[in-house]
Amino acid sequence: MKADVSVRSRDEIAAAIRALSDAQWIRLRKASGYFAWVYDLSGEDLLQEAFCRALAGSRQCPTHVDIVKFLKDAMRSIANGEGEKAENQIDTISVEECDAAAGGGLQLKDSTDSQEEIMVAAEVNEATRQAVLGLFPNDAQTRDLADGILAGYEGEELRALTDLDKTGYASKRRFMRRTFDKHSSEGKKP
Amino acid sequence: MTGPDKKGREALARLADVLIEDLLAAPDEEILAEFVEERGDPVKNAEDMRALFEKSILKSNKDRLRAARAGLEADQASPATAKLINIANVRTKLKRALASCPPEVKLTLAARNESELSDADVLGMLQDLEELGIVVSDDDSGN
Repeated sequence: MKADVSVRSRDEIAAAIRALSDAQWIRLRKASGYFAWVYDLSGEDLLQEAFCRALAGSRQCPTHVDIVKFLKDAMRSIANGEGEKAENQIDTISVEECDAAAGGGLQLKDSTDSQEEIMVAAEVNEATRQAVLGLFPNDAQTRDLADGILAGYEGEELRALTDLDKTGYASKRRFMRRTFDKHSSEGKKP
Repeated sequence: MTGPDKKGREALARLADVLIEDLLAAPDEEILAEFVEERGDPVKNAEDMRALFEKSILKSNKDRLRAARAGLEADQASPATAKLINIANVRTKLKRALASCPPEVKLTLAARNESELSDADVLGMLQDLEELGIVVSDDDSGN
């Protein structure tokens, strides 16, 4: 059974956003940048859409949830939805092409990924992974950390992978984030 | 598609989640100092972001107005179908119909004194007579 949750009104959401500190605005901006990088979108558009959905009430914000975290989750959901849309896009053909296909003049493509497409996607994924790891050319532990995250490792498992103590692990995570931030502040993608 | 596929994006999204987790956990002073080093003035950044938010409010207000207008137009396009009925007139009409209808119909309708019937019974009975073609409905008769 779901417990009752009190949610922020439109005015309360607006007031909470207007009251954000300089540091919180930086967090929001950077979060939008990370998602924009992953899903190949505009960070500004993503943030604006998250604002609009929060104000429209299509995403409800419980009063106990931090507003920055709420907006971050909204951006992730919006970006993920855009990614899914792109993934599920069906190839369309014009009427002329349809006639040509009926007459045997056009080869219609199967909607499922061909072997070649799967191979190309695997190559692109690997190139992206190498680009990410390439950000840390002289640091094997940070490379292992990033690689472990990409592979789906979490928590203690991830720390064990890097063979670091808690302090060293926290320091490597910070170094990884800072490297990404510096890289993206120069307008580059990994 | 030239970017990573779903599997590749999911891997990158995991990385983004970790980066954001650390970003949210880092102390404000650290976040501010890093920003100064990387991009510039945090106050100017906050101003730019607030302006973006105000733009979003305007857009959201316009969307709400559009939705309200669309709702209003939809309401106007389909006016309420309920109509007011004078039950006294209906009772009179039923009494007249029962008095003039054939005996077999009277039996079918279990002739009771019209004054004992509820308003709902009166309306229902009249509707039955209309369906049997014994009484012409107001809509059909143009009244």
